[in-house]
Amino acid sequence: MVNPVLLIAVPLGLAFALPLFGLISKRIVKYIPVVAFIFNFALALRLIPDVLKQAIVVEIGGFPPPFGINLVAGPVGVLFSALIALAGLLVAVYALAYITEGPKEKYHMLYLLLLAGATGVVLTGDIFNLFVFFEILCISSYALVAYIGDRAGIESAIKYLIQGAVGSSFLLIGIGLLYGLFGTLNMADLAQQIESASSISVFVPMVLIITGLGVEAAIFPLNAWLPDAHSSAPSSISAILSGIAIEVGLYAVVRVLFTIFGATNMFMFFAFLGVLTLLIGEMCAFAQNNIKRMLAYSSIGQMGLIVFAMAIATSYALTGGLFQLVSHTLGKGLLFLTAGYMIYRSGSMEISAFEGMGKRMPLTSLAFTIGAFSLVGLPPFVGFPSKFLIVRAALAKEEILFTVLIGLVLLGTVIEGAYFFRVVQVLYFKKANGNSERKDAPVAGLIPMVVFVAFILVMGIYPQLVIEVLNSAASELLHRMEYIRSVLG
Amino acid sequence: MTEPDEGMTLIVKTIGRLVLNFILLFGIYIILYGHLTPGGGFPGGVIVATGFILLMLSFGRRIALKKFGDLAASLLDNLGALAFLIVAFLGFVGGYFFLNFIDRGTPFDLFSAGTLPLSNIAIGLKVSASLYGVFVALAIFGKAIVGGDRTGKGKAEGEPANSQEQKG
Repeated sequence: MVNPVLLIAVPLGLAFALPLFGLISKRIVKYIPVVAFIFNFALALRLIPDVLKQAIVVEIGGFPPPFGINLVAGPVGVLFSALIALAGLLVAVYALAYITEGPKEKYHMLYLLLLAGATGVVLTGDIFNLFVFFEILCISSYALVAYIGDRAGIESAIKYLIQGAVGSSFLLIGIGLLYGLFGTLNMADLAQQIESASSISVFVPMVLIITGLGVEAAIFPLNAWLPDAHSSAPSSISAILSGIAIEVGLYAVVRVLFTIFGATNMFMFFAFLGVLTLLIGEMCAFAQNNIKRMLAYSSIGQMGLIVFAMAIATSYALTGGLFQLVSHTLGKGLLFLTAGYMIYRSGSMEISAFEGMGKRMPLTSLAFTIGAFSLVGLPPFVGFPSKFLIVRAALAKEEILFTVLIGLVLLGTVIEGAYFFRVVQVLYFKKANGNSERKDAPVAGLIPMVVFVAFILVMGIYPQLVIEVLNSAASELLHRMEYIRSVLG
Repeated sequence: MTEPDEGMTLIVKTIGRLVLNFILLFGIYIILYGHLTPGGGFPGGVIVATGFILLMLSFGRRIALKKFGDLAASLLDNLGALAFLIVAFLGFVGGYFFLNFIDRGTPFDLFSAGTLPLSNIAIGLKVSASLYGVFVALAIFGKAIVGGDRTGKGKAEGEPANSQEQKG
């Protein structure tokens, strides 16, 4: 039998076995993450048809759910695991050629731990277990942000560490309060009992938990760490932080809001917060001259869009929001990977240094352009159907307020288009001054870019490929009673 | 002249030598009786780690690293974690991850409770080695920054002189 627990256990085990492999041969170490995520991706794909019929509930140690820790591999969990494994695999291939300096063994070990933690967060059905996996994810990302070891890296890692640690403490206090109220940590059990408590005594832990998770999810007032951390990490890590880590944070927020608390009265607040996050992120991105800071602020904007979509809370909107998560992972992953080699070849993070890159690195520039167009939401690329679904869901709500908000969202998209097209213009329509030697990224760097581009194109042209999974994931989030029933029986 | 690497005074060294064995013994006791008394792999591991930290504080870096080097610490760290995962994987014998598949025995015996003592030993290894490793990393990292500045200055002063000589 294929067991979803292997999705967490195999990367975790390989992470700890990696230094032992390193004793045998230093050269095989960097291939271990690739192997781990090929396994994970295959397993997640294999699980999808099963979980579409019924969610798989894994009992750890043979204890039935309210008593033991359990994993819930529903459509949401498996969708996210597949996404994590895909991005993890491609970025691991990219890192084969990209990571050449520093303590490489520790890089690959922390990388495996980060993604094992992320997979754990999306699969677990126990809120304390969620906290533990969340800490694994955060602590490995603090260390990876400082990987280069220069002044900027260490400074931003410490900023990230302080804000992340404050967030984690909020999360822990919130979980403690919930445990004090209900005497259980199982998410389905909590969800079942939440209505029996007075609303104010539940409200305090909810605010604490959402604030704590919101730091990692980069929701507006809590995201000061993100631009520094994402811009000073190695590009492969930026891709993972932007494509996976903050999305996992957002998953946790959504899971807690929808499944545990069923907090329908909070959604209006989150819709405003989402639009605010979107506009601030996009406007800050527009003002940047540094490519990686621009991409980092653009991630904040995208998170705002997804929060807004989730807060509409209809099945269309949730499908759109989840689709936007997928398209953001693909698009932003691709953008950071391509930007990594453009920075490497031009020796600068300034956008103006990329003049004439369209001739110097044609394939990389083309991939960057496709990623940018997809994020903006131009058709044949995957960003188009996902944004379209969100707009359609907001209009289908038929309320003045949501129509106004979606207008603001579209304004944000226009700003997004402006700064991405500016970069594309620099790439293709400015003459290179000085060095114009034609040299593209190495093969190990090009393969993941090509695969990302393929996914972006295929999903953009045939959104039906993923729409079934997304629909049932949306209904898992929307119908909390079914979640409770599938876990507690 | 005492160098900073040589540790503390004779009083500290003598007391440390006396106490060290008891600290390690107590830590191992806490780990082994984890399934019967309060404590377990984590607290026991911390106590064992403090024993080695005491060794380093009183006798200095060189002697402590000879007894328990940082490579050995990181290896034991990983082996502990792997052993824990292997115990968890062996649970698949009965169909569940982490299943307690060994006979539980009589309660309150030292050899009882199935896989729990094994997991405790694995965690004890992991925690003691990794906490000691963290201490060593902080201690050596701190040294490297201070020492690096000194040697860095020396080189910076030396290099221009060399290059001038080459020019001349």
